[in-house]
Amino acid sequence: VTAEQRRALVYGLIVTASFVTIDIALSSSRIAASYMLGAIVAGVLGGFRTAAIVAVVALVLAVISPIWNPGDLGTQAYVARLFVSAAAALLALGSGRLSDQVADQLASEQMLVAVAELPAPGATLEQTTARLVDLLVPRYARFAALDGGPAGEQVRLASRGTAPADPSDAIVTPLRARGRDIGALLISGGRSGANDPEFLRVLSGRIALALDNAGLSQELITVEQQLQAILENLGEAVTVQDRSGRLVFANSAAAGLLGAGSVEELLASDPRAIADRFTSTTEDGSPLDPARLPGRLVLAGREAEPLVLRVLDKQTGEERWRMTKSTPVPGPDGEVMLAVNVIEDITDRKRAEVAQRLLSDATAALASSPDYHATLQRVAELAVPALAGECAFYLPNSGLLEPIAATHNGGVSAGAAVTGEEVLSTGEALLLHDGSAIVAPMTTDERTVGVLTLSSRPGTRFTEADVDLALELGRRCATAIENARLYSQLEEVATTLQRSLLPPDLPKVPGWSFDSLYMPAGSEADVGGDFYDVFPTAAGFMAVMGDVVGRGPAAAALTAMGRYTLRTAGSLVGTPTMALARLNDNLRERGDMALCTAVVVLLRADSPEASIVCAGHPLPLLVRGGRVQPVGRIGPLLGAFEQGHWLPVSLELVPGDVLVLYTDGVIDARGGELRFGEERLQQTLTGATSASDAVDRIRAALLEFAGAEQDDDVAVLALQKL
Amino acid sequence: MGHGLVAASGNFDVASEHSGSSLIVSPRGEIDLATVDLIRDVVEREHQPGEDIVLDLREVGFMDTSGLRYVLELQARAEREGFAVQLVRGPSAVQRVFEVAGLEPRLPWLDEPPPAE
Repeated sequence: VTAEQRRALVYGLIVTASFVTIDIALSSSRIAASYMLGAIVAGVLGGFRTAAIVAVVALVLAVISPIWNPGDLGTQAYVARLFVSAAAALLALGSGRLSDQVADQLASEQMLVAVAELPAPGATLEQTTARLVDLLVPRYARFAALDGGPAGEQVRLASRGTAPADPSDAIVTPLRARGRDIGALLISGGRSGANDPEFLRVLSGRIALALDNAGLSQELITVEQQLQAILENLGEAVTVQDRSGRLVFANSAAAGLLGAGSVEELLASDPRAIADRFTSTTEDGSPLDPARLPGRLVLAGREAEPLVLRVLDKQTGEERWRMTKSTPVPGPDGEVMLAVNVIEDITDRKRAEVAQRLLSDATAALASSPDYHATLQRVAELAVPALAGECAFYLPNSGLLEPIAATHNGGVSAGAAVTGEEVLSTGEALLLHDGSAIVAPMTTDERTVGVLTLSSRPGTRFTEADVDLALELGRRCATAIENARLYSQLEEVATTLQRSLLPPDLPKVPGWSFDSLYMPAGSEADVGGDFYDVFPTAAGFMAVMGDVVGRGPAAAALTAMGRYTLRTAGSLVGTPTMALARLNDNLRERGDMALCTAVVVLLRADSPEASIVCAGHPLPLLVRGGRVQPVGRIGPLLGAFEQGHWLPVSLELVPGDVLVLYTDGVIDARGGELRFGEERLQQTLTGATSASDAVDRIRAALLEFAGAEQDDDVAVLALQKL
Repeated sequence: MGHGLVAASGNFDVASEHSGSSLIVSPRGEIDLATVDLIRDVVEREHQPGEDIVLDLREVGFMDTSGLRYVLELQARAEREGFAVQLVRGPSAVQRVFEVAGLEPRLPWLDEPPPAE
């Protein structure tokens, strides 16, 4: 029962009571039919139920009215008054019904208006559904609920009031919006008009619309929030410019990139003030035309390629690279309304590119020659301007740092030399003068070789990344310097060793004339395996020539062993075969298939007879009367077998005879596709008149046939009996 | 018949083939200090334990003492591990190197590789 109904009931009862009181007070009055006026008042004001209550009360009072109107009972007038009362009661009930209908109509319309006005801007779906059921209960029904979702998968969004004991007592109306089921409305204990299907249809339509709008607006809010979150979390800076070029949106990354403390500060700044914080140039360092900025181009309605800028922060001196891409956003009129700029900081990538290129160019330059004075100069020139404005390299000399390479003025500041000493002793790089200079050590794994200094390009400052790059550059230079030094040491060792393997001078032996030729192959560091020697023995003189299989330091060691074993054993024992057997044993003892070929010639002081023994070596050539023939007998090379059989061949030499010993480097010498060969050698020597003539002929023929460069060592020893 | 394998470097290459109980290794070109390791690599890779080795020198145009040393190494290894090494005679320039080194009478020679079984 509502307050209105209660009030109407009270008014009705007062009206009825007033007429009863008048009827009682005035003994002559007979106005029982008027009692029903209260019911009519109650009906008009309060509706059918209040009218009915008052009508019942009024009718009862009219029936018992003879109590205060004596003598009235049973009269015709009394009966007539009762009929009039009954008729008035029907009138009261009818007006009540009418009043109810008007009230229902009014309530329904109010409800529809309220529902239609419900979706408040920014309200969430939860808030909207809660307000909807609040509207319905208790004004419209005892229970109302909203379920969301397509049929069969609905979830309760909100409910109010007491749910009916039997769920099927609730009236379920589906909610449809934009052609799809979005949920259902459940109503139970609705007021009389609630069961009007037409009204329910209209109501559910309105509710569906309200829910849909609330959902849509929530989706929009969610999308906007998500978009904001995405833009905030992007590493790339995003700004949006309007037609005037003013910034209307920026994310935090943009604020950071453009040097503003916050997004708000950035958006409040004058675009020119933002640009003035930096010196911007194009990628290659040439001046920037602002009209070429992608944002400007896009706002002017033109296509814009991504633009890479080199940007120098005037305050910090830090140089960075940015890539800007702009996309137009058309307005309702089709003209470009906004430009969305995505600005990517590509500094790390560009620095890495520059660093990689510098390091690889420097490495190539350093590898190009062992002369590190020249290569460091090249590296210094490569470092400018890729890394620095000036670059210099220093190496210690008698305890003092000495510049050995620098760009034109080296950027050497007064303090750099002192700092250099410090860096040399600590091996730690220093970033000097607010980042305008770097002094970095050049270190190998073991030690600091020297120091390099870099001074920054005007207006720029070095960063820690530049220090790392300087250190890496220093490491590569140090390695190159160390390698060059090691190489020159190695070359010196090799040259010294090789010199020790050759007889300084052939001895003077009465009755004999000697000459020799030695041409090592390749560089001096590459010690060859050919050796020869002439030394005195008990019986006379021994001439030996040998060739160790292989090259390099291991072969050099064998060469020394071969030469000195043959010399020692030859001088002591005096027999060529014993000397060769001795060397064979020594080689076998090594156990690594160390091989050597050798020929030994014993020349007696007291006899023209020479003994020749060959161990795997090309047979000596005898030039007698201008004609050439090989002499000696082939025996196995040294080091190949435990037991060797080397048989001496005796040869009686006559004055003028020339005996030529040589290594396979002579006959293996390559000329185009051909080899020099034994036959060509014999032809070369045909007609040779002396030891030196024989050697000269071979030298000249080899030079002509093969040129100066040879794959293998060449050794020739010529012995002439005078 | 086994599969063929070729390793090459410049104008030098080495073919190898498993045939019956033998690995036939056929270098082609000039054997010197620079190329001998290629033969060594092919043998290391292809040789199965106990398998005999036939070194076919017919396509070798030139050989210096590096080649001799490899042959002797291979023979020493064959004695230790119990397989046989045989050589197919090469051109005269190659045979001359074996001859001068006094090795020709001490090595097992074939005129051509054994037929496939």
